[in-house]
Amino acid sequence: MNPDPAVLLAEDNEDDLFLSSRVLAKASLQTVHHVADGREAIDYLAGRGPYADRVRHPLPDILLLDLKMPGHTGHEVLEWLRRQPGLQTITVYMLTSSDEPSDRRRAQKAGARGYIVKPLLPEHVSMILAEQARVMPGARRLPTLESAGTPRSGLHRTPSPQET
Amino acid sequence: VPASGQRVLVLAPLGADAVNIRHVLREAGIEAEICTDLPSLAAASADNCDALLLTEESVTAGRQGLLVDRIATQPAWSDLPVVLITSGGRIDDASTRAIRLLGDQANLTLVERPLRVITLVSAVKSALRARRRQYEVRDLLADREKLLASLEERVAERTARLRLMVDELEAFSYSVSHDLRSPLRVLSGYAEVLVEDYGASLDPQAKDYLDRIARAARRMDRLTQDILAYTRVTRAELTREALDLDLVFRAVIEQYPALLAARHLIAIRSPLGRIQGHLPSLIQCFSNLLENALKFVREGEQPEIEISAEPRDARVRVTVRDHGTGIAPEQHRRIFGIFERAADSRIPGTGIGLAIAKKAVERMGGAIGVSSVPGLGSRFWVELDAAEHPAPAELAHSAAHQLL
Repeated sequence: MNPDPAVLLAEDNEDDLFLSSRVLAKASLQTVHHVADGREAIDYLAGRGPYADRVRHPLPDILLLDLKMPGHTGHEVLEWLRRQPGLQTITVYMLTSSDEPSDRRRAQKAGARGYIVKPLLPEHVSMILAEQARVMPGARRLPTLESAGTPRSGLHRTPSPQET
Repeated sequence: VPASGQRVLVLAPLGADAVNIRHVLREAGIEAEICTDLPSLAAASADNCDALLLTEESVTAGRQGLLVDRIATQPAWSDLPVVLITSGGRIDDASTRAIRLLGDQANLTLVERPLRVITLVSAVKSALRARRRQYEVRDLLADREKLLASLEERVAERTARLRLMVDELEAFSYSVSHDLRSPLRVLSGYAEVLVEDYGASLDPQAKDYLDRIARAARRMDRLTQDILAYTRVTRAELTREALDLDLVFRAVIEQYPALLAARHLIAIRSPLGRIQGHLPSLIQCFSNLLENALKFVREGEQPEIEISAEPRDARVRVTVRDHGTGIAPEQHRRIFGIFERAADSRIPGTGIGLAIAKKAVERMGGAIGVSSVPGLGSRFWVELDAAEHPAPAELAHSAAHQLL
C-alpha cells in the first residue's frame, strides 16, 4: 500500500488551487488529484465518465472540499458523499474562505472531519496527516508532527517505517 | 322606520293591551312594533332591537325558552333591556318562577299594574338610554378592533421589512466572507511565493516591498474577518448550553493555526470546569485573548501563557495570563472599545479583537476585565455562569460535538 494518503482537491479558483497545491507539495504529498467544480467532484468520486479509470483516478483517502463552487457547492458534494455506502472511508475537510458559523455547522452535521479557513497552511497539513495516521495505520506522518488531539477510539497508531 | 336605538318590540297577546301601549309610547315619541307571540318576537328581534316590552301573560304562556335563548346569544357588549308589565292582583307561583328565570338572564325591569303612563314611559326611555350606551361601547370596541388590526398589520409589515434587511445583511456578510477575502488571500499568497521562490535573486529592497504587499493584504484580510466576527457576535442569536471549558479551549486551539503552532507555549490548568455559553462566541472570545497573549511579548522573549479557572459563587472565572508587555492602567478600559489599540503600531492588529471578546461575553451574560502591570504581563479574566456537572454520556457526546 502506498503509505502516502491520496488527496483529492476540489477547487474552482485557479489561484487557490495553485497556492493550496503548493502547500501540499511542500509536505511531499505526491498523489494530489484535482477537480474544478462540484459536479466534477461527484463524477470523480462516483467513477463516472472520464474518471472510470481507477488507476489514473484512484479514490482519494482525503478530500479537500471548497464550499463555493459552480455545479454543486461543497456542502452538496459532502451530503451526496454521505449517501454513498462505498465511499465512507474518505476523510473530508472543508477548505473555504467562509468563517460563517452556519457553514461550519452544516459541514459538521454532514460529517466533515475538519473545517479549514483558507489559506491552507503547513500546520493544517500536519494536522490532517496526523489524523490520517490514526484512521489509516501505515500512513506517513510528518517527522516534526505533534498529534493534534487525543485518540477517540481504541485505535492505536502504528508507526510507519518513515516515522523518525 | 324608527331611528337607530329606538326600536321597541312589544309582545302583548291581547289586542287591547297592544293598542294602548303603542298609543302611549307614540305620545312620548317612541315607535313600538307589536308582536302577538314569542316566535314572531324572537324573529323580529333577531336583526335590530333596542328594547323589549313584555306583558306577564306572554311570558308565562309557554315557549319562554325562545326568549331565554335570544337573550343568551347576545354579543359581549350587548345587554338587551327588557321591561315586563306584571299582571297585578293575584300572585301565581308559576308566573313568579318564570319572571325569576328571566330576571337571572336578562337586564329586566318590572313595572307593576295598575299601570301609570308616566311609569311605563320612563321605564322604556331608560331602557332605550341604556341601550344607546351599549351601542357606544360596541362602537368603541369596534374602533379598538380596527386599531389593533391595523397595528398588527403595521407590525407584520415592519417585521417583514426588518427580516428582509437582516436577510440582505446576512447575504452581504456571507458574500464578504466568501468573495471579498479571496483576492486578498491571493495577493498575500503570491507575494509570499515570490519571496520563497525568487528571494535569492531579489535585492533586499525588492524583498522588503514584497513583504509590505503581503503584510498589507494580510492586514486587510484580518480586518475583514474581524469586522465580520464583530457584527456576527453583535447580531447572532445566542443559545447557551452547558460546555466543558477544556474542550472549548481545545476547539479554539485547533481552529486557529497560529494557536495550534504555539500550543506548547500554552499551559492549561485542567479541569477548567463547565460553564453556560455559546460555542462560536466562546471561540471568538478566547481566540482573541490567546492571540493577544502570544503577540504582546517583550522583545527577544518567548510567550508563556497560562489558562486557569476558579469558581466564583454561581460563576466561573477563567483567567488567561501572560508574561508579556502588559498594559498601562489608563488603557485598561479603552482597549475593549472597537478600533482602540494600546499597543505600539509596529505590532500588527486591527483593534477589534478585544471588542469582539467583550461583546461576545456580554451577550452570553458574562463579564470581562483585565489586570496588568506594564512590563510584567496581563491577566485577562472572563466570568460566565457555571453549569452543573454532566452525566458521562453527555460529556462524551459534547466532546464529539466540539471537535470540529
